[in-house]
Amino acid sequence: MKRIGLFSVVLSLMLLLVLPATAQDTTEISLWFHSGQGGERDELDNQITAFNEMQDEYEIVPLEVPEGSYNDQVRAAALSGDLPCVLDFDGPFIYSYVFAGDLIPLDDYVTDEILEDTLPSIIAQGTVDDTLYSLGQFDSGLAIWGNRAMLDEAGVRIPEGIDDAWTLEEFNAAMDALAEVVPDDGYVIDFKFSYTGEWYSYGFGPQMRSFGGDTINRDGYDTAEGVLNGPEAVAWGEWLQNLFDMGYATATPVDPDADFTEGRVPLSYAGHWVYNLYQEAIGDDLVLIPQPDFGNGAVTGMGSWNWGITSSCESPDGAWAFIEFLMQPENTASMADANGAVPSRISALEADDRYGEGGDLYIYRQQLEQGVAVPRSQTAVYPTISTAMETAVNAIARGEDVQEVLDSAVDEVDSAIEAME
Amino acid sequence: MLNFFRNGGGDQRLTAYILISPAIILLVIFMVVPFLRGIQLSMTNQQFTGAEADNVGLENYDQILSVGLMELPPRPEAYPDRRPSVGWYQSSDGSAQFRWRTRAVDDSLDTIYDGLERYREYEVSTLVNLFGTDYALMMKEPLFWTSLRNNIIFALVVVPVQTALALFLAILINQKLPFMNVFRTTYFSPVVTAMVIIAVVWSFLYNPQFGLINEMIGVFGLGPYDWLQHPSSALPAIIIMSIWQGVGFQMVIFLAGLQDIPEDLYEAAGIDGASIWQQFRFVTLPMLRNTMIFVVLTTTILSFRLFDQVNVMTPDGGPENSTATMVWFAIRRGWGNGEIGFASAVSVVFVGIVLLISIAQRMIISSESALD
Repeated sequence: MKRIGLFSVVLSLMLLLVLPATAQDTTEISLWFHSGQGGERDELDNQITAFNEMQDEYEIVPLEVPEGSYNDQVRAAALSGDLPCVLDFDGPFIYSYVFAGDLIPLDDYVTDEILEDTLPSIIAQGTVDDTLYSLGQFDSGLAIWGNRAMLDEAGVRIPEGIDDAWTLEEFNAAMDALAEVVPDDGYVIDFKFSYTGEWYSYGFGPQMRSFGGDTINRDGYDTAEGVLNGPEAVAWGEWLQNLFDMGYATATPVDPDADFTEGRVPLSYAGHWVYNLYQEAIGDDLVLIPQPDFGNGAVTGMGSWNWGITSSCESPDGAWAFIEFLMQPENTASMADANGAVPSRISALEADDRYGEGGDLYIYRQQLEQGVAVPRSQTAVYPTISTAMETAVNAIARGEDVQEVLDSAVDEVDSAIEAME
Repeated sequence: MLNFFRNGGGDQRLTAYILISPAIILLVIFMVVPFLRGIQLSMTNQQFTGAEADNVGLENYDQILSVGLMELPPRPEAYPDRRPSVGWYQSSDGSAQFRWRTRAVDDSLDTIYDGLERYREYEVSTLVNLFGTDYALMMKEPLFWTSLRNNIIFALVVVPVQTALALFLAILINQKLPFMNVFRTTYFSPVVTAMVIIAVVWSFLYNPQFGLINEMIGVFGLGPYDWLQHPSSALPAIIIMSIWQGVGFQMVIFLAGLQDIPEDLYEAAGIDGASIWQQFRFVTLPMLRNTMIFVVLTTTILSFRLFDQVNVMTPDGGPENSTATMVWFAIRRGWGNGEIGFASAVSVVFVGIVLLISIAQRMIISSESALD
């Protein structure tokens, strides 16, 4: 008898707890986001909690999805009709999502205040055919992280800004000079080969473009033939391959972040997302070196994760309320603080010392504002470009024939274009 | 209720149906229906994007299975400096290669080389020289055939080696010595560990800079080798770790088979003067015949399903696609590139090939038993 008594007490307590929640009239809004680095994730969690607490009309229900296969899972969900209401996605995938009809336009929701105070690169990234589909809290920064002490020891010049960026000859000379000063278990430049997925297109596409090639013919976007496997792209591939052949770079790093922070490698090619980690580890020795000019002008990547509303969303008003909340300057600022990225609200960017002249991240701002940053290919076959680049860059680093590797990449991209027609 | 199940006569049939129905229902929902749906999808150009798919008949199968032998034009006196879109060139290692970029050619290919237009949709796989004439082995989907070849090499090595090793280990741990359970548990532990975890651990072991395996063979003055980065060693590296991981499972099955052999057979053989080797050859092996058939069949099927370790250790198919497998190929095209219809066709072809091999094996084994 006693046991039953206790049970019913517990049961009625549970009912009491459950009842008020169901009685209230909150609309649940599902949300997916990529499980990226720790700081970024925690900050988003904080902002979701803050949004859920400041009003009681909507409740955001987040789901974290692993980053490596994020786009695959989104497309699988789209096919089976299980997309969430609010979706975050890496910039260039927008063309394939819009092509498939997965996103709704934001034009009716967005305010002039937001449009005028947001980085033009963010607006450009979210726009397809003059229609705005997505907004992001931050833009990405991509340049070369350097260890000042090791660069000085090797006598390598550190550029002040994008106007005196390294040339190809200077870059190659720096490689040779740095090879003399790295420790026995070290190497000269870390290309983050521990990453999988989108990194290879994001990071190496700009290098290829700076050599004069590209990942697709941007004039019509109907083939990659002659561009992704043209002589300029082959020159890039052979240059990159040589860095691996010489032992300046490694395709099989165990923990490349630690290689940089522990002084085994003086240069690290990675985006803004490693800033906080590197800054904590080597402090004032950390320098940001602008993207070199490999012959056809310096080029770097841009675009980052951003938010859209899916066409299967039943309460787009609530979804927009959340995106609007995310886009408040103070929220973009605290996110940029957490992940080292460039805040998308211009007012937040101007208030940030790191982006002022002489600041740690000033180079990012210069690259974004002065046309060094170029969007990734704006095409619905972008997902295929992404996987083809991942395969190609890895094959080149392993020493396979560059022309044959790039020919196969073209085959993959072009057959995706043909399948789309 | 109990009476209902015990009842004989006409009720027995009903009872049988009721008892098997849960299994049948699950089998239909999770095996038969998806397989039929796969066949149906394989005849469409369904994409991941959810766009309306068209029926394309057997086009996907044609794409996968088309093979041709193209007679190449004679090699030029001097090779061009820049590689032509279509034609001979000298590759970086000095050998003569034939480049076949038909997409880069706008007009008919016949205006460049007579009679090659019909291979427009093919890709060159291998060059062969027969009686002084160069031929190119052409496929519409060379990667599928590479994957099939890798699967066959894998099975040809893994099935005999793993079976022999499993039998050897089973005999070792079948002795009545102290701590035998410790050894049994040790050999079996890789089987219960998730393959993904094992693959991650082994990719560290194989790491060219810090890997334990290079450190160990370095003691004997060998290496270091780029195990997973070199086309000739990547597949062997995966074969070694797969055997290490899978051998415990077959070992346990052999152990059960060994313990079923009556002790008096060995006693009788011993009295007849049979040596240990003769006992193994004429008592153990014949008594393990059925176990052996089961082990060989399951190992073959499992080795054709090779995917997890390949996808973790060489996610892009390995150097020169040397570790691409059929399942990896289907998943890359379906899940990575979103070509669901095409990937379904690859899966159907895959099932067909495995089925053929299993049937062939069964026929060989049963014809052998007829000789007994």
